[in-house]
Amino acid sequence: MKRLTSLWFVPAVVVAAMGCETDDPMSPGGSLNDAGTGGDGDTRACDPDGVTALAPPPACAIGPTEYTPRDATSAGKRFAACISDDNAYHPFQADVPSNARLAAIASIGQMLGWNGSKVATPADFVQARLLYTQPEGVDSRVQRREDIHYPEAPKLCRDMTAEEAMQYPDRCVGPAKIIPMLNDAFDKGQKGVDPVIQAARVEAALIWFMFVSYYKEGLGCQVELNQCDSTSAYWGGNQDRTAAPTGGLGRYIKSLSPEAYERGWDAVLAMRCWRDLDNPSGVGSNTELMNRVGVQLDRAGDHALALIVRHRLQNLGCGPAWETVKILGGVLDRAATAADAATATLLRAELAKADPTTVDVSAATAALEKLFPCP
Amino acid sequence: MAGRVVGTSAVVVMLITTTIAGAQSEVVIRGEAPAASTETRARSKVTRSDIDERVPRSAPDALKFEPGVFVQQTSHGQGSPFIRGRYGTRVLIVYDGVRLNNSTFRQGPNQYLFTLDTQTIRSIEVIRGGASTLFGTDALGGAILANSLLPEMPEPGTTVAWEPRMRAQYHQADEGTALRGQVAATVGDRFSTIVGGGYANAELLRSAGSVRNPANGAKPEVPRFAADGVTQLGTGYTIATGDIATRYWLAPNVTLMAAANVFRQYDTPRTDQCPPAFGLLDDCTMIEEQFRTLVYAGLDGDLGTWARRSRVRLSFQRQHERRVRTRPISYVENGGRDDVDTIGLSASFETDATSLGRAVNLRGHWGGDVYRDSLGSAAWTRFTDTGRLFPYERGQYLEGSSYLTGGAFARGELRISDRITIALGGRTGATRAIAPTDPETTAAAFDRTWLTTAGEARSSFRVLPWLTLSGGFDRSFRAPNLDDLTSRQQTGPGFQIDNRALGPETQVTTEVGVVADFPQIHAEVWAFRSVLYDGLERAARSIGECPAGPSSEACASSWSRFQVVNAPGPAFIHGVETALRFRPADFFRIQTTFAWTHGEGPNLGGAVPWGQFPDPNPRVPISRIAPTNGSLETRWSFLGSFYAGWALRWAFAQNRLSVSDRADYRIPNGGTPGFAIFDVRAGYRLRRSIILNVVLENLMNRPYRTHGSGVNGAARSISVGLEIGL
Repeated sequence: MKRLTSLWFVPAVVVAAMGCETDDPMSPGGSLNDAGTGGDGDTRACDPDGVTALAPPPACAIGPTEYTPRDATSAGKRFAACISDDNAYHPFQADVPSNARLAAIASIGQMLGWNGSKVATPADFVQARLLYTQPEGVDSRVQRREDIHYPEAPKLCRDMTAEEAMQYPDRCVGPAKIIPMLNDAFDKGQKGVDPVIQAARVEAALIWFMFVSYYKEGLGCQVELNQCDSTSAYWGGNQDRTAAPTGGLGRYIKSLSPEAYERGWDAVLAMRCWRDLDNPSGVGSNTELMNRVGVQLDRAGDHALALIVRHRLQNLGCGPAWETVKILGGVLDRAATAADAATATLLRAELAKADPTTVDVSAATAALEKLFPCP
Repeated sequence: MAGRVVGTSAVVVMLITTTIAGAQSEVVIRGEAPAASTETRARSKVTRSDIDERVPRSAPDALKFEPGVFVQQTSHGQGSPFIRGRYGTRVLIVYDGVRLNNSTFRQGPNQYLFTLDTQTIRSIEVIRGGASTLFGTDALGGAILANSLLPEMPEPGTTVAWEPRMRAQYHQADEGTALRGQVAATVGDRFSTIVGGGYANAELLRSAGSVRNPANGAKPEVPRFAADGVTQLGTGYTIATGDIATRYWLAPNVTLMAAANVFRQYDTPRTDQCPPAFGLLDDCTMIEEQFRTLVYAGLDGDLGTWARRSRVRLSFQRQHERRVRTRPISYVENGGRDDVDTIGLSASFETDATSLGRAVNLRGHWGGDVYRDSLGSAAWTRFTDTGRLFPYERGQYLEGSSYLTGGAFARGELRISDRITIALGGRTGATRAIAPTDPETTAAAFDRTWLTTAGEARSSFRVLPWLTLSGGFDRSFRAPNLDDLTSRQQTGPGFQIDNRALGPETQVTTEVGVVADFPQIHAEVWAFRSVLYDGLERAARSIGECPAGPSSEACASSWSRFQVVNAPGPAFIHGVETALRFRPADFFRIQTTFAWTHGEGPNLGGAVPWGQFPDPNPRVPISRIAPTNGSLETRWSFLGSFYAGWALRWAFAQNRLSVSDRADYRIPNGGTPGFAIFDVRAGYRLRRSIILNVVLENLMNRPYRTHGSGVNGAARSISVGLEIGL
């Protein structure tokens, strides 16, 4: 034993002993019923779908390679006989978490008055954002969503930081485009700035998310079987073709074009049929069949989005309608350009106008019908 | 060290440790023909010297070479020992005679053994198999008895003396540094103390790369790596510690003791969720604060015929945990905080040996304990762009819940002619859980009490002077804790739903052992079979069974949902453990371990985790059973103060997976690949003045992962430990 010569450890002891617990965070004030600030913008509630729907485009002849389970006589003809031939979707699993996320989106719509029933208050935006950002909720999936219509980035978007993802905005559409739009809309909505428009932007962003997911999850089912179930959710909010759609794209489409709605389900069942025929307990390898399904899903999805835009074009006096038309019309630009570049240019020009009253609705509608004639 | 007896002839050194409810004394016997073991159960011990030479990063790390112990790491800054197929709340941790387990220990692997500062540990004993008779609830797989550095008895005639000591560690793979300073002081011939403090920091852990999924050859989803492909994201931590221990000798063999330990761990990412599988890189769940504060006072020693060896502890412990999941791109943080304050009183006494006749004597062991937990819990969401905070009505647990567990035990050990030992013991007690009304669902408050019993019957028979056969039966229990009963939480991508209708689980273990002791060889083989009744197991739940309230959306959106239930049928685990120590000469030693475990339980049916198919079999593998594994260590000492050696840790692949294992991204697709990792060790020890240890870890630079872990093992790297006593 020696006399102590150094006390350098004492500070460490003190630091440890004084290592106090951090207090729970305290709210900086305010309540959920804050009126917010701003309010210079359009605060008139209106239903963007509140006009009489145009007659749906005439039904198209169904391609010879497409799956048509509604036609009982077609079983085993276009596709080999499969589980979907009874015209019902057979989920891989009883529980589909995507249904809950679709239900959350529907709830957000009610909170923000997407149907024009109310002007959302800042508190509504806060509640909607809380629901949107629940762990494993909608936000968690928007963050990781890639649009597989676009070329792959050098690495998966989820292996990028947010900044890196911004360099591939088309492919990394979730983090690079949809999330920033939602963040901005929620932020402004919480502040009471143009709440009707912000609510419409939230809706458009989430329709965009569902549109991308419908296709992406459908083809992702090659590896992860449960993604088939997700695709059915992104179409109808559930896995029951015969039930009324509880969410998803189909909920917008059914009233606009029953046939387009059913064609969306045909595509979903085609996907399920493919996975029934292609190693149904493992990874699929039949790329030819997968590609056929991809075409069917893609066409149904594009047509559905075009129908929403076409319908809301007829209601440009309603601010939310114009807001969603601008956003979703832009989403359609890729497919439109691929289909007919000249017509796509015309449509792009109409939707780029700053003033909705100057939009040539007839021309834009005709362009959409030309570009996306068949579901 | 109290209780040390040193023989005369120094050919073999064998450590036999006897344990009474955490009280320990080491008996070092040196002789050419040591007495054969009278051990009636499987156990092993890590000494301070072992810890020094292994240069571990943590207390769990220090157990990696123990027979029958498999260390899982969800995160770099966590570690959970698996013993006989059990882990988490089914393995009891005791520190200086005080239970660390509390009512919030969760079903899965947990991080709490990591909160013992490896720099202050004197020894860790591992008891394998049920041990509830002596230790109460939770001791199903086994018990880990850690003991801290103790102030030593003053030398006679001392007035005041000091002994400063410094320890430092460096780990190249995570650029980890650990420093500790301590002063041992004695005043007069009755008082001594140790005061110390430490600091440790680890950066991102570099591995040798990703392991591969056996099923498809792809990289597992966790952990995620930096661009270099070897640096693991979601690793690193910072620790500060402080401790003081004092002893006052009332008599030469009776001491009063008081001690305090403060452990502060900061900013420890949960590796498998930072980022989570499929999440963006900057999505991260972080344990911002993992604190443990333990203060206790006690009495040790000889209190008379009925308490010849005694240990009494009055303790207060606070466990504080604050975590946050951040998703910067969406400006959202989901935070939570849980506090557990535990007051405990425990006592254990061993009587004198009473002669019952010629060469027959009986020794008694009795005592009791009681621990009471009080819980605080909160949860919130905060938007970082606006600073707005939204507290939830409840946290992971229900604020104001309490939990009381305790009992009394007695155990008699009969020795007949030094060849036969028969031990019988029993415990009776009760556990009470109280929780207030759930403010989210308005589920009613509850106050439940369970009577609990445990017992054991063990024996050993020295067949030959060098050969002992041992065996026994044990009945241990675990009462449902507040985590089982009231926890409502996100567990990775899954969600746990609370269940108030639970009862205790009990486990009956049968074990047999063969122990051979020769002058140069100590060998033991243990085989066991444990049957768990009313097992508190996870049963999958459907979305429709999610609770109402704010967590409903998170529950329904999760990849899986589960609820702890009492399983309707028994679960079995059986296995074999061996340990062999061969010391052909004073300067050379080889020791090796082997463990095989196999487990299956009832298929609880219901929904299965998202993306997985139901297992149609009525009985299914138990989750996270360790693969067949083992170790080999050699040690060659030379020139008096130097030593060198190498070590091997190995494990076969584990592809017997439960349904939940298949949905756990910590486990690669198809199972966890096997591994064999070589370390080279060397060191120098100049009495207690200078101790230098160097380990070259993972010599072949192989990527590897222990089954169930969220983090891969370190790359080839050097670790150095230095201790200097001034």
